[in-house]
Amino acid sequence: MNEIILTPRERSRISLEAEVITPDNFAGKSLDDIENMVIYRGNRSVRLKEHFEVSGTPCDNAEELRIIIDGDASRTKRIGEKMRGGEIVIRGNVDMHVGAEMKGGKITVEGSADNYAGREMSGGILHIKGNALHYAGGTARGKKRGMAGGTLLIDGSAGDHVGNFMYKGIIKVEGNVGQCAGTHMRGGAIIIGGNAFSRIGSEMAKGTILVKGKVHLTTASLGYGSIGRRVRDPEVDGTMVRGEFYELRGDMGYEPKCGSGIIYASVEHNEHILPGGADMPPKRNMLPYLKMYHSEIRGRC
Amino acid sequence: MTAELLIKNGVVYDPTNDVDGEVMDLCIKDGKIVDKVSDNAKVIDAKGRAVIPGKVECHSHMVGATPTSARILRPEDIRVRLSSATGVRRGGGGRTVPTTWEVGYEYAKLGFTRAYEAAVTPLYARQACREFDRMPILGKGIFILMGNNWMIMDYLTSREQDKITAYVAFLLRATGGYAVKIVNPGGNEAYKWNTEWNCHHADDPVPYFGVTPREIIKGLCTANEELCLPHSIHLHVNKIGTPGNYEVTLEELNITKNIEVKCDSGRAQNTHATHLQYHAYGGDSWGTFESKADEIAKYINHHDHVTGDSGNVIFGDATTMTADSPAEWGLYKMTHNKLITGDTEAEDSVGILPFLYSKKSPVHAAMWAIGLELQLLTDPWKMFVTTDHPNGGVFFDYPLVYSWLMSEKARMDIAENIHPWALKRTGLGGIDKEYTFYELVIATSAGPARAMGVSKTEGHLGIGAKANIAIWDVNPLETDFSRDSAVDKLSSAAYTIKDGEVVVKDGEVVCAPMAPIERVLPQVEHDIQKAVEEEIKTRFKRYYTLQFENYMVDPELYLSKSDRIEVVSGKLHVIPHEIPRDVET
Repeated sequence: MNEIILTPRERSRISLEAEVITPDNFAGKSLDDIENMVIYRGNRSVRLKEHFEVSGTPCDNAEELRIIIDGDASRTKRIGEKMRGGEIVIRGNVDMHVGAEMKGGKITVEGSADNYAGREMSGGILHIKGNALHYAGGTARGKKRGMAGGTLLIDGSAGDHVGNFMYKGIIKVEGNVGQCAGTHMRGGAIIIGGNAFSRIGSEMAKGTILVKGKVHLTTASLGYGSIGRRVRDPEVDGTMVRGEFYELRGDMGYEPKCGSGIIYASVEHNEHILPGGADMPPKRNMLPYLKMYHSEIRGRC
Repeated sequence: MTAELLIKNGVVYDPTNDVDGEVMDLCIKDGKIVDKVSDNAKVIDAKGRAVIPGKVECHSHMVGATPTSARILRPEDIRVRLSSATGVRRGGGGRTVPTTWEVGYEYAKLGFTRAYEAAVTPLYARQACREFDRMPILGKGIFILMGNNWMIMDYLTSREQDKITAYVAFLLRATGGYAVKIVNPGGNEAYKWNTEWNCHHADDPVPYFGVTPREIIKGLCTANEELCLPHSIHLHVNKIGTPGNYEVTLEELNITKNIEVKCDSGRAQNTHATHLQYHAYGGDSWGTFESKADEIAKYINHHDHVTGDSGNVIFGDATTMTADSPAEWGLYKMTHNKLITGDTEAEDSVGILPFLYSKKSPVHAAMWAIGLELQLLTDPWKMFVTTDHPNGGVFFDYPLVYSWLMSEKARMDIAENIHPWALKRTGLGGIDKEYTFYELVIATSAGPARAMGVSKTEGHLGIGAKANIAIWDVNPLETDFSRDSAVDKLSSAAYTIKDGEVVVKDGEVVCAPMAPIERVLPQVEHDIQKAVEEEIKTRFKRYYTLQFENYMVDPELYLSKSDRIEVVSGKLHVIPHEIPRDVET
């Protein structure tokens, strides 16, 4: 595999928009061409070489190309947007829209990602080794189609609205997630290793969400009637998950397809959601949770 | 600004003056077409290029409270199309609901020099005036919604026609309006009582008021003619988008048959029925849905008191926005898409919903065909090309509609690849008519200019007309549009000239002057006007949430750049407002 290494020169205070950084765009171009590609700094267009030092061996085939961003890209947006193949490795943090609308290939972020990581992606693998902020695997405001395929792996925690309007594919979050995970879900699967804060799966019409930790606050319209039902080792997106889970159906309040979505919440941590169980945390207690999640996720900044 | 301009050797199309593709020169001086210019005039070589009067958009939703709400409802729309600022243009974007400035630039690129905003409630006229004040290039006017107004229905109940006339005059003066718009007369008021209610035919009474759509249309049309307004009533008839609605359409078009046209603006009609494609459906359910475009076309061809526009459907993304909120509520129940539905106090209502026209859908395929059928079967002097932007499609796609009208092959290519209902349930397959370039100019420029009541100065290229001209990089004498796609040739103008100034060159906006808003100031007898104003003041306390004093749009603040059209004893007098011609950056 050929490698092109982009070394960030210095941290720009104004964000860069670099949707040209994809293996498809770099394939078949000389280092000189790549250096002269146009990116945007704020509302000004600049050359790529003004912000990145370019080295490595060019290649004609995008599939054979690996782009390495060797440093901090925490003010560079839209890396890997609409990429179809090849690989991108980011050895640091990255700004918004990493891997947005990607269709194939692989992106590895060794640090954390800002909002909209893997927005509306439809294929490929996006692996974030740190945390991801809001709308990971979701959709931009207004649009009704979120993630439509591919795999989004987050080793840390994620912010609010993970996988909203998700249609297909899988999101795995090892840590906790914030509010409104899987809202408006229409398919696919979200597996959460830690806790989910609140309003999980609201307006969900299809798909599966599995929470291994605690579901702090569920939407009232999730099917409480079926809460008593326990499932051992459920199958999510073709793979078996070990453990014992409560099965909730939702969202009963969403008219056309009430109750086709499934939410699994682990038995071990979720006694409180049973009828007659401990009450949900009252509203005034929400704030510490919210602060905790947000400081955890934002901790990197 | 170049004071003098000479367009040399152009292939000129000017239907008003019966010029069909003659090679001739056009001279322009001080924004007007004159018979000769001096040798210092700037020359535009138009050899082998079509020269036509600037196009007129007679029905579009682009400014005002409704498009602004739609911009808020659809943040995703701006991602579809973005354009960056140049030395001349401001940055902007959006497709179904473009930003204010973009509308001006993009219309100009398609050769338009004039456009009308089709639905503004009096209460929100300020917003429309403010936006129009900033919209470059286009000449413009606002249609004021009156079809569900409580005061008008009150006066109809007490049968005081003179007071209706005075109230219409008051509303137009108060809001900076240009014409009277009637949307779903009475039906919106019924919807505000119960979401399942509507006025289903011309004699279906409005709840509480008891008046019928027939009375509303007749009353407002009479008032419109008594005031001698430049444009006729602009009518959106009841039962939009429902199978079998063509009977209602014909019935309501017939209401104004005997009302005399009393205006000297050049129009022949007293009713302009808008987006008729949505009103030309037969059958009694979606299963038996079929086209009745031929019936509507026949009626309009045989009656001089009606003109219409087509409201073509273009496949793809659209945002439906109309004051006809029962229709929007119906769409919401069908699609469960995001919806804004609202009530504008005592005046009207509103509905906005994003919508996708799909090639696979039988009904959408048939709607596409009905729009074309209607346009092809009707006299182009009486049926104008619109997409009811952004309801049926966006104005950016007008060249597509032109190509379908001008080429049977182009439309059959589409018809054969969409749902078979496009040909099975409509008469499109049996129509071999193809629009000539001359007819296209009638249906996009000369015809709408005449119907809008601006034909004295616009929509033609005779001596004394305003120099609003579009030049296309195509020679229609040598081009066979039925074979070569009109889309490529008519997608951007080589030159657009607005008031003698080149605003678009080779498809790029080179200059963006501001053009005035036109508003009419009709007059009625002083006594009646005083009496009506007193009555309005007392009713305001009951009906409105704001004070009467705050209702009037302040012309100093909001209409500083407006041409005033005074109507004095049946004659129109345009009082232009001199505006600074500096370039907006």
